[in-house]
Amino acid sequence: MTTRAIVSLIAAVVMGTSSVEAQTSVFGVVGIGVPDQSVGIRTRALGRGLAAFDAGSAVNPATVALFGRLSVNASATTSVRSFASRGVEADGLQQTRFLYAMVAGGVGRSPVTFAVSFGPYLDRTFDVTSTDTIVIRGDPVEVQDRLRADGGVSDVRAALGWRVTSRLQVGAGVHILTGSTRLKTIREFSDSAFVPLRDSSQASFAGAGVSVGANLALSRRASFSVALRTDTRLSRSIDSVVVGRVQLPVSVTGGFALAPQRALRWSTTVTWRNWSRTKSPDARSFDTWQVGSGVEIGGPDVGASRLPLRLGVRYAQLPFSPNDDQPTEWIAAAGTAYPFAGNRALIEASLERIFRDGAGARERVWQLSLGLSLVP
Amino acid sequence: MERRLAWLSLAVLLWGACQEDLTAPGACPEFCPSTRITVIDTLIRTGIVRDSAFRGYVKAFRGTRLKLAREDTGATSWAVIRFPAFSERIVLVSGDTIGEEVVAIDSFRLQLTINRRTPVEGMELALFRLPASLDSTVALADVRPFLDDSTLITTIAVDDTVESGDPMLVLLPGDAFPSFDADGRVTAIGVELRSPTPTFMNLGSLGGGQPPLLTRFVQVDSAGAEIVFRDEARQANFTTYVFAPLPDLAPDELTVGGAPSARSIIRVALPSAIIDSSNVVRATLILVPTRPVTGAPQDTLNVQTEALSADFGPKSPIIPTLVPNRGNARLPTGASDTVEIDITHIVASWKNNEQSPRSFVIRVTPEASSFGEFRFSSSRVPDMRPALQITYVPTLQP
Repeated sequence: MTTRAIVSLIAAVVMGTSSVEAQTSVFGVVGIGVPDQSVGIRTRALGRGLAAFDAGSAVNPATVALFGRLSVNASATTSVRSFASRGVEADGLQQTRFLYAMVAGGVGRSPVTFAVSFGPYLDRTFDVTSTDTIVIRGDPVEVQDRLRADGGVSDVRAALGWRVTSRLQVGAGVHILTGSTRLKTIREFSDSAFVPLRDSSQASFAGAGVSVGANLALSRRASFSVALRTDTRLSRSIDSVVVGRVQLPVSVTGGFALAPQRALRWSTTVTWRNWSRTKSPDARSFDTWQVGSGVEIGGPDVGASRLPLRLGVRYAQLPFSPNDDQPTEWIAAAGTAYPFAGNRALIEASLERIFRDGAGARERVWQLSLGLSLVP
Repeated sequence: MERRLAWLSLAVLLWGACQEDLTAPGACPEFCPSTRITVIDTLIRTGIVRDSAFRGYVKAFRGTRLKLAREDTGATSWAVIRFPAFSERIVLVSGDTIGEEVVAIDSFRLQLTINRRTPVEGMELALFRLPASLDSTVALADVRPFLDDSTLITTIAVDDTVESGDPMLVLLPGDAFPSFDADGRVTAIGVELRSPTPTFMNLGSLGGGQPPLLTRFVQVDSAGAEIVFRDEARQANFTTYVFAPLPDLAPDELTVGGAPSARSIIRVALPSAIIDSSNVVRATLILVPTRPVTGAPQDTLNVQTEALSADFGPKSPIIPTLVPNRGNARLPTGASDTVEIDITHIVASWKNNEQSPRSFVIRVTPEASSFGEFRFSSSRVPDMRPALQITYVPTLQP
């Protein structure tokens, strides 16, 4: 593996895709969007069961303490989506997004380590067409509308981890929430006396949060993890003028990981977020539970195989609904990783099949994610 | 192997990055964006705050057409055409600086271009001799005494097959202009339209690039030995039309059209919420006539609205409308209904454009090619002031 190839791959990950956002969903049209977490490819492949333990994810700041050397990772995802609702069906909806990036390393010879990451928090991307007939100046006029929103909220985390003992790590992080959404509006009138509408506007988002966490290894084969995160209100600004604020949720995450055998690791993470405090004028909001669990078999770090096999499943509730029916999602995931360059580089891949149902809609997604980690 | 893997990953990512398709039908109302496109239609009666009419832009002799209207219609209009002096001597041999004397004039041939005609049958054009001394100040009263049988040269039947754009050739006798030599070989013709029903006709003019042409056929004494025949053509150097004077403009009236042409400048004050924070999808200017549209029978006026790049009053530079049939209204003679003109393109151009004056001009195009005039009420008359009906969509916020 040459340096040139590595640079090319990083460039592809960072520049070949759009902005940092979570997966686009029909459920992102309602409420303030579809929430996501800043998790790495490994965690995705494990159904996010490893989220509370994964140093490559930005869920539990205590995991930052697991970094020893400087490392860089970045990932991107491509999704193909279909949905059906109220007799409306669409398929072949495709999107590629820059997903997540992290730089981490130690602070001198101290037991303190740092990590700075950049990942998704909320997605507010949709492209919706519709037709209608309205009465203007006393006459019915058929209109064709297209509303395209592109953007979302990203989560920039700076965290410090402290290896208190070989079994206990703690950490804390500061989160900056930032991002924007550009809304493009197109309306065509059947009556040529009306000129077509083509307009765009942009809103920017800002917020902040803090997170703390701890990781406790009860033995070489069992560990527990807990993390707490709270965010401020998310402000929405247009032309530097704040036009609205919504309260963001508190997130409580807990998990356990078991390794009954050296080459078999099982991890589960549960997250609760009180999204119901996020009042959205156009949607009902609900608190959410997310449970992810996955097993990792083999892998070069345990000397069992060069390619690990990762399998996972996840259940999650979605926070926003146009009615009283809270949507849910099931994810079946699989993935692997390939180390090279003397284990100084790692390509990871995950494939997720997502089933979202509820509130009168059904959505199916294939999502392929690729990531690259480097230890310079 | 590693290099292949890296390039494979690269290819997969680039393939995905190049294939984005998010457009989907909305499952409304549940899964449609809450930000809905709202159309607002409003009639703004006080949106026009100042207005002015100015006359004197384009004179009739600069017009692109010569308007003819039958005299008894109350909208008389005659064409006046003057040709430059023909030569006193004819050059037969190249290099001859003196030329040969004209022995006799055989005939003249007049070419007129029918710029526009109506399908009325039985139309005739009557040609009259006019004094060669007339100039750009000529008026109907100056011409009227010469349009009688004593100065009639000939009448030409306008064949029903003659279409707009066709030239008409008329042969005139050699003595058609008795004072030809006394007038210094300058000729002038008046043209009257005669028809069984009230109607009009447009002839090509000098300003419109279709000047009448007069050809003289002469006999020349070639060194006393032989008589030869030659022709010599002159393109009109002055064309105009004369018509009954337009009535004076009332203080509360605005006007467009006529000759010299008049323009009206309209100044608008609209809320910023409409101009800057919304998208205007349709804007209609509503004008209330103060009298029926004047003009030749069966004729129409093309009343055009155009934006201004600066508002300097009567000398405001116009941003010409390049799109045909945009921002205009065609008004038939005699029409007295309220006039609606689409000015969407003008109002839309003001969005986030502080440099652009919130004013526009109304004029008849082509200017001074008709004596027709449209007069309408100004903003000084509360009940009949110009108004704006605007349909707009406020900008959606994401």
